[in-house]
Amino acid sequence: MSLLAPFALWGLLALALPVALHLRRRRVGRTVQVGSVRHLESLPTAERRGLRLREPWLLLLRSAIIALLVLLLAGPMLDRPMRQGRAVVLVDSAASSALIDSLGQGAALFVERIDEPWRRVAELDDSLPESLPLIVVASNDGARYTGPRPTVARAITWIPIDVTRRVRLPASRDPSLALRAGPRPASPVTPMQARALAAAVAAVAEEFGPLRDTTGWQASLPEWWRDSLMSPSFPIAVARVLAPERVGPPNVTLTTAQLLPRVVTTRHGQQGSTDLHWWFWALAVALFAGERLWALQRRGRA
Amino acid sequence: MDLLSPRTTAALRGLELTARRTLDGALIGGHASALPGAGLEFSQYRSYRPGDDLRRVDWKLFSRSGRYFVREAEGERSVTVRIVLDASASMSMAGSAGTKFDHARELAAGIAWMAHRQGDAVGMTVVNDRAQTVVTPSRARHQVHRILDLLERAVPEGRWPEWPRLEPLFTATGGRGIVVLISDLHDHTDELRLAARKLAAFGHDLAILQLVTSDEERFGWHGAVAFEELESGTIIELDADRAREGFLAARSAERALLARAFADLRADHVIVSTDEEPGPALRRWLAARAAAR
Repeated sequence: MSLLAPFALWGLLALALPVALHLRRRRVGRTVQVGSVRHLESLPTAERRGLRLREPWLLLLRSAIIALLVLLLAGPMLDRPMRQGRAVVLVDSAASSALIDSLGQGAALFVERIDEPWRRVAELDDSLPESLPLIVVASNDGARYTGPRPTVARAITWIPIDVTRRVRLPASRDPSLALRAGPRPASPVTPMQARALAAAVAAVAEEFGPLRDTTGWQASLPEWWRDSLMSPSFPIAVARVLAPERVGPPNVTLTTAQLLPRVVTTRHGQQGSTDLHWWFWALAVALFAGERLWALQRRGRA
Repeated sequence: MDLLSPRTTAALRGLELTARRTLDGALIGGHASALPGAGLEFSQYRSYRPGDDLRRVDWKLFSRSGRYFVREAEGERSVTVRIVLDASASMSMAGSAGTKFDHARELAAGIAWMAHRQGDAVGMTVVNDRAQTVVTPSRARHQVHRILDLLERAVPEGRWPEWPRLEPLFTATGGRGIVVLISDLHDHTDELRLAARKLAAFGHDLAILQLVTSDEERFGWHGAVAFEELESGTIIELDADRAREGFLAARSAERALLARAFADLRADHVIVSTDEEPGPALRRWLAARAAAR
């Protein structure tokens, strides 16, 4: 399982709340000093006072509810057992930055820009799980590469891009794949770049089926939210939303975060949901109902 | 505080604390037994009272005076009475009128007074794990005052000590006698019952006065109550109404065990409530003791 917004896990600090509640001393009518509590200790209803968790199972249940809600905020995504949906895309640094941006943005492809494809492929081959496909989008087809070629364990999808070649996009492509430059293009996309981009995405699509926006439930969020809150240039995006006409094209600088290898989650074929959002909601509601029932019963007993 | 009230002494007047069996072989066991013959120092004549053994009547004197007199001898009063007072913290549990310890002190004072009055050597040991204070048994005139002074100063604190610390107190002074243990019998492992076993094994004639409060007896608490153990500070919270049955069952089971254990030691076991006046309580004990003889 992966999280879309891991920072939300700070919310787990809220677990201190039920723990504190269960540690709190319960108010008792009065205190009687007796010679011995030997016979009282063994009674089923007796509670030894002290720094002790009362009703640990109820606490566990409550903690689980809070943890679930926090996880919900963090956007849980299930790593489905069938791994063909995930891939790592390496893009040759010779490709234009617009191509890389668009690959990353429009199709929610997470892309790494590379200088030496083979070396990086060898590295990734060692570190990535075996079932994860590796896609290299490179401007050469490997023929002109003269350096040593490593032996890799997996099949590499090598997509040569030729900026001069025209590629027709598959007619059945998913609308979410629209090769839009995004609301804030790094630079105007030239027709040539657009063609290259289309070629690359078409190649990926041919390999893995139609691509979808895989941000799951966040796809249902307003577009400005998705494009702004989730991106590193959040403040610019906010400014743009608030005052669209006054903010010019921003100076986009590539941060190191954008250069890190990113795992692509592409979906194709059947519509299987990897989004755990609704499941978590259902579980949280069920647990909450259970917790209320439990608490009510306890009050009934007391 | 007045440990020895006139009410108590009045209630005890005419009662006798007697050893149940022969103690310390050479001397006389039962106070009311027949005169053993020569060697005992004559003390006094007193007039015959119904119930006196006819063999004790001095017939020569009768022939001279025409009245019945009974010889009394010094040697009969040779029993040593040791009172052991449990001064552990659990004894400070409050009853409806004063704490258990207050009642225990009054009982102790009453027994001391009675034993002294009947001419026995009486001693007092106040015991907890911080200090064991002893007034060695004696027939001295001011013995009761010494004992009362000790009782006045005694404070319940700590726990019942382990037996090795008590053993010298009961061996060094020597001589077997009557040992009256006044306690609530709340121990943590087995230390109080062990002490009782050891005392009985020394050959003492053991009597155990167990102090209880009326609340303890019928678990007279209601609602949510936090019970704090005096010696350990452990606090148990529970609903008293729901706990009552279980508590009483566990308590009576333990009491049955205790009673059997004490019967095996041939020890008296009397449960004294803090609601009870010390005089009648002691009277009840002595009556039961006399009946068991």
